[in-house]
Amino acid sequence: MRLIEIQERLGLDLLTPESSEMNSVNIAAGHATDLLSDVLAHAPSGAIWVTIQVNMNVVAVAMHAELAAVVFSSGRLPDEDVVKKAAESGIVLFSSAEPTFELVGKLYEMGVREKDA
Amino acid sequence: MLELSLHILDLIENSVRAGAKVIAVSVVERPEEDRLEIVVEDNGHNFPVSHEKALDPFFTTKEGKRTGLGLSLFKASVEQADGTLTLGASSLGGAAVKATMQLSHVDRVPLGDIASTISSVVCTNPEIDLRFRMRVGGREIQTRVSEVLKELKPKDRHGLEVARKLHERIKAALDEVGALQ
Repeated sequence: MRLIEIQERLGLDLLTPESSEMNSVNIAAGHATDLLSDVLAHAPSGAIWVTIQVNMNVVAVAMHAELAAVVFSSGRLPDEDVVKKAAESGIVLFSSAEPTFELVGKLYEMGVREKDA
Repeated sequence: MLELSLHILDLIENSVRAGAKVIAVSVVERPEEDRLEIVVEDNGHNFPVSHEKALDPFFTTKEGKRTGLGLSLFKASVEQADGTLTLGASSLGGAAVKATMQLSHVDRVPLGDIASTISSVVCTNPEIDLRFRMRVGGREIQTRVSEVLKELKPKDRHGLEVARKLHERIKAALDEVGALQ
């Protein structure tokens, strides 16, 4: 599933509008956690990650784990420098007012449920 | 990370890579102030960059890597338990990393298996004098590799045996001071 479809169907706000990955990247897997080391250990590469953590480490971890996108849930918003770094690193960032549980439920229903991307 | 001991392991590995011959780990629980303090310090060559840069998750000293998450993740973990992490110089001559946090904070991750963590480093680096100090309230214990070596026969002074012995001593010491996990 393309990122742009995910954005539309979940009503996500795109924080990195200059991302060229919106149409090209295909998302098959996801990961939900707020523990960054858990992402490093278990997130499938190419996945979309849903979290309430919004600090700079999130971008570094997403990059290290080769993730495609991060969704900040429960209305959390990162600082500008985090968004800038993500844009430079090719990580697409979204935000949503909905909590992680709701977002992940919808993603799963939409077919984002591969164990490996 | 699910245990503070894994962060401590990460810091010890930094010290080893900084060429340290002495590495001191100190864990202090102050129940009366509800604080937990962890210090890892060494006599290696100090931070090669500014403290701010060392905490940048995109800075690493390892070649071929684009991220350096060790210190950054520890800092995040400490801050989520109402704590602070500071970098500085050690009286041993090298770098010091000091973390303090709220002992009873609901988001403080447990200390974990500190005896096994520290011993695992000794196993492959028995020539480094790794020192461990634990203080709970008024009770304090200390143990170090150089002491363990003295107790061992020359033929037993190899990584595995030193690690086994140190593990035993740390375990006993933790029981003695009644450390919280």
